[in-house]
Amino acid sequence: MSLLEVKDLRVRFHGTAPDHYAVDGVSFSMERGDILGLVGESGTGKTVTAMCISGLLPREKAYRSGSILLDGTEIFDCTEEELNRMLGRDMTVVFQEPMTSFNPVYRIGRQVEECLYVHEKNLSRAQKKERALEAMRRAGLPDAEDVYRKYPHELSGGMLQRAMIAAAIVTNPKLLIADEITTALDVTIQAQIIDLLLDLNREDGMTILFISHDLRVVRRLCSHVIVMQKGKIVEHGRTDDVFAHPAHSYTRHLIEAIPSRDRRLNEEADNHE
Amino acid sequence: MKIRNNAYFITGGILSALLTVIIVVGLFWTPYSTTAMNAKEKMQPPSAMHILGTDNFGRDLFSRVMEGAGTSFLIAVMVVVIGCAAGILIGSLCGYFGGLADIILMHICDTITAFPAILLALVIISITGGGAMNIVLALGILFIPSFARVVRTEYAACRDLNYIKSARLMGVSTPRILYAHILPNTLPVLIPAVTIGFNNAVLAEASMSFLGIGIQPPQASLGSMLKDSQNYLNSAPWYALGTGLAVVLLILAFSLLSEGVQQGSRRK
Repeated sequence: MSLLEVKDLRVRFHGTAPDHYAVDGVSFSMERGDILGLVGESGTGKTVTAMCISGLLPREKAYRSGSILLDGTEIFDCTEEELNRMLGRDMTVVFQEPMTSFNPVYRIGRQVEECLYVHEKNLSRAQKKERALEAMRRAGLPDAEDVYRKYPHELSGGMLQRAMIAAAIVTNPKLLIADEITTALDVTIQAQIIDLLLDLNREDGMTILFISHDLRVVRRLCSHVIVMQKGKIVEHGRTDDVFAHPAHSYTRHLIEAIPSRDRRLNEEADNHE
Repeated sequence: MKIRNNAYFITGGILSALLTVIIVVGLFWTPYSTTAMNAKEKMQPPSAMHILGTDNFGRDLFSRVMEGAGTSFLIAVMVVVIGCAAGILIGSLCGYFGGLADIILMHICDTITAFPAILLALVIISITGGGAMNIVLALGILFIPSFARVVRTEYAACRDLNYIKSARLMGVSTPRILYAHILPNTLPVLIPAVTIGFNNAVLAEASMSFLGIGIQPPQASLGSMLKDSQNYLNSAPWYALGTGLAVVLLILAFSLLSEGVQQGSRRK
């Protein structure tokens, strides 16, 4: 059985035209240990798909249809309590904006421990702290003890993103949804975050749904890729195959838009001639 | 907030601490009995024996101010506790969930706020009868809208922030989001609201006692003492001055403290 199975997902926000779907008939599945990239330009429905999977898009805000099965459980049929039991334990989400994703009044350590407080109530205070520190070390935070005691405003964007990842992996979830988590970071930090996600996948077998519009990052990280355009999947396959032989014109355009050193050199040579 | 640079906070804190000590001591001990009358010593001016003088029944004014300030203080604290607790509950639910219940409850709050508090308190007291607990209940109900409004605004602003979404995505329950994640973020506006509410409650209690519908004799209350003292403004001005000074100091201390906290929050 697949870990995540999305079948014919359709989403239309209230107040929009009857035929205007933010997500239109999206279907895909993820096996345990997969890293799947969801790519496309802004507004193609990547984040809306992630919001549906994480149950963050309520019926009051949008019409939804189709099915999302996480480890055999239908997300759309879950009550709030059932969803709360799954979120943070079976599935965690990391956002793009690390600077605003932490509560400013609490120390980082307490916020990394929050998932344990909610899902592993039997742990003692010392055990929670030890697990939080372990997750922070795994997330590559230097001097985890020091960061544990700091407030969010005392850390840089890169460190906060790592702390977010630490908070997301502290319960060893089955599925990690990473929504544009490298977008706001500089290239060096981006590379470190990608290495960290690869480690989590190789060592813990963590399944990762990686949402991005940066195709270079997706190419390096993901085993499979889905290309979305106007709410629809236009291409789906192994990352190497899609990049080597893009079948859809939109995918070709996206790949051509990647700044390439060779292409730049060729262009410079042409100009020189 | 750097406390040493915050003159309002330091002055207010020292004054409040001093008054709180006097009030707490007054709950258990006073230099003289607050009810025993002494015809020989009536209308004595301030002296080493009676630092604020005596009243028309020969009772020591400092002892009565200690007891009266304690009464006003306790009533104000209970009023603020009731108003704040109910205000937080209503404001948090309205601000976080919104919807029809929010609209109805906020309109009820606006309607209550539209009437003068003392007038509404008079209506409630005339229905329920006098007594300290009824005053607390009447004023407590009237103070709910101001707290509910402040709290609602903060919750409405916080509910869609990323760290609240993050908390939801960690599977945190709604009550925990409301009171462990959002409530601490409302403190910069809630603490000044509490201190302002406290001052208003002291004034409201004093006003009601002044009008004769609050604390009844022989129990001392700053409002009823002020009412009695106005008959002796010319012959015994210390009576009104001592009592009035106590009201002013009580209000001033917590106003300065409130301003200090607000300045500290702004700097942060």
